[in-house]
Amino acid sequence: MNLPQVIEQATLLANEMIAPEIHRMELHAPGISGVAQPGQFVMLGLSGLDPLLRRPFSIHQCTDNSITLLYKVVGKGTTAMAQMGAPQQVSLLGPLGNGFQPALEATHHCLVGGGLGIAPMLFLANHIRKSQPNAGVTILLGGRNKQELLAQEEFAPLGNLQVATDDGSAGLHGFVSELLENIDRKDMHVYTCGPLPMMKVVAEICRKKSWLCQVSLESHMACGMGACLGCAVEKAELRPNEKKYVHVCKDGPVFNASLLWL
Amino acid sequence: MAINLTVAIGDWQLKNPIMTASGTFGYGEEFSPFVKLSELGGIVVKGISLQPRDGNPPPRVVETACGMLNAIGLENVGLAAFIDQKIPMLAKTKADVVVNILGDSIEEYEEITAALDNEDVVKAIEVNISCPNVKKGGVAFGTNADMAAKVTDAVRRKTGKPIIIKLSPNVTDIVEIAKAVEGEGATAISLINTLLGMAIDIETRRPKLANIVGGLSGPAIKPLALRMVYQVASATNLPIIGIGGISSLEDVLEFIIAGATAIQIGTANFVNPALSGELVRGLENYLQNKGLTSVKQLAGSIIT
Ligand SMILES: Cc1cc2nc3c(=O)[nH]c(=O)nc-3n(C[C@H](O)[C@H](O)[C@H](O)COP(=O)(O)OP(=O)(O)OC[C@H]3O[C@@H](n4cnc5c(N)ncnc54)[C@H](O)[C@@H]3O)c2cc1C
Ligand SMILES: Cc1cc2nc3c(=O)[nH]c(=O)nc-3n(C[C@H](O)[C@H](O)[C@H](O)COP(=O)(O)O)c2cc1C
Ligand code: FES
Repeated sequence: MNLPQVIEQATLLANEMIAPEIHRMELHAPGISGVAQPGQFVMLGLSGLDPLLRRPFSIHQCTDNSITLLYKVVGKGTTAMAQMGAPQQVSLLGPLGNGFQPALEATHHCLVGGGLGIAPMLFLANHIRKSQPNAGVTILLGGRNKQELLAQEEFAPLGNLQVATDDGSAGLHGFVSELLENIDRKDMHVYTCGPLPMMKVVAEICRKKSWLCQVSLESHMACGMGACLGCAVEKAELRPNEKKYVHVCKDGPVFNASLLWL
Repeated sequence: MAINLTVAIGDWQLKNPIMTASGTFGYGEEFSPFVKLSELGGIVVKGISLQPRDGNPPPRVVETACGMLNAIGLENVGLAAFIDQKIPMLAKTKADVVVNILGDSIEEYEEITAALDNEDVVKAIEVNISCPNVKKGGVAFGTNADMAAKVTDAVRRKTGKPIIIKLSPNVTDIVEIAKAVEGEGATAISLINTLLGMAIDIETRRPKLANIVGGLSGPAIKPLALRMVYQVASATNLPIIGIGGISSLEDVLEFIIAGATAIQIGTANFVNPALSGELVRGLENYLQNKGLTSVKQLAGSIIT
């Protein structure tokens, strides 16, 4: 389903810290925003020799002319990003990868985001609201603490929002997966992004309850476009004649959980 | 005045000296939104082995200062699928295609070369000799002049197409290896492949790559690659294809002045997927501005 990709010289519109180490960057990028699907990502260029490679980021929010990224400062590249300011030019490669495929027939959608995995969920929630105004939507967000529960105000009008924190500073004192476990429904479609252990638990709950589950993976990337084969992730079990690895950038980043973990 | 960008590798006339390096350009198609493939001197596809290979466990790539380490593990679709699926697609692009081949025995190199000899799209064969020779205790073909010569001779006998031997820089004396493959009928030499390196996560004390070690590429290796190109160009009579950290027009010119007939863009394709096409136009403009009519006037023009 790979859509047309472009290298776009985007104009930075805003870049602000919204929580400790967490920043939100908005970019004028009509070439990408016009075709992007929820769950897709961009490779952001840092225009120097060190850091050298582009960095992958999910599209957090998408309007007609702009996209927003939600990112955490973890190293050289994201530190440099945090110092960028409007109206700087930023090179974006995108939109990349296969996004979420919201089920058209589903009566109820459930979005599960943990930590920075919250990022792609806002675009997805908005998209589902717009394309299926009558569908039920539940949004479950998890974080280590209250500060990590990002963009709650944006999510609140889009569905039934529930939160969980590891330290109990907001919502359920526990894991976001417990909120999912407590849902009693026969037919539901689940979309998740977050730390790998969390997504595996979510996928396992879905398997038991017979809900379809789409997961968004990360891996170390050099190109983001299927050329380097650097972003391989191993499948847990193989069906006959299956290849051992999938490539997150071009086969994903969104996969049906059953394809990866059976 | 019209600028002549053409160069020759044996019987193969390249439109210009700008090529793309194996493993950094997929099978070409990935880059078609950004580069008109037929405008490049040539594209070198991901290394092909006889059987498909899964490659190494992740993490396979990690960035280091001004470069990156990779341990992809030569993942590829295998010869049969390459011929069935990739060759027809490549034919449509009208690109000049070089197939990079790899093997763990001389027989494997021979078999792949023989099969590719029938394919019109394939303008030349680039032989990656940085792979371990399984029958000789896993020592890389490219680190031993004798074994490098034997592979060259073996593939030479299986095809009339130009043969480019791609040298490993992980050797004590690159000139010795270059002379050995020249003596066995290589059409050209490309260099360098990646340098063996590693990186450690100090928090976990584990290697950052699952394979522990990997190949270093990118701007970090450019001075070393340039030195090797210069040495090999001075010591042999073969056309040289320069590779290693090339990211700008200045880099291209340095390699050509050092003695390279053509160059390949590797890691820089990841940073700017449109770069190779931009460099073709950049080179033409440069020659025009300098009042030169042919890129050959620049080749090997170093003053020492
Ligand atoms: C498809 C995809 C979507 C992503 N979306 C987001 C997002 O919306 N928001 C966000 O904050 N981050 C996101 N990431 C992760 C983000 O790309 C990395 O945090 C970023 O590249 C780190 O760059 P750096 O130079 O600051 O860190 P580096 O100095 O490169 O590394 C610092 C630390 O981050 C780790 N790291 C580096 N690259 C990655 C990576 N690709 N994935 C996971 N860990 C990595 C390193 O191992 C190291 O521990 C996404 C990654 C992928 C693959
Ligand atoms: C991800 C990656 C994969 C590569 N795969 C191959 C390969 O299959 N065969 C090969 O001969 N060289 C391979 N190389 C080496 C490159 O072709 C090139 O020689 C090297 O990267 C140095 O050039 P650069 O610094 O411009 O990248 C690979 C390099 C990278 C970064
Ligand atoms: S990041 Fe290069 S193939 Fe996926």
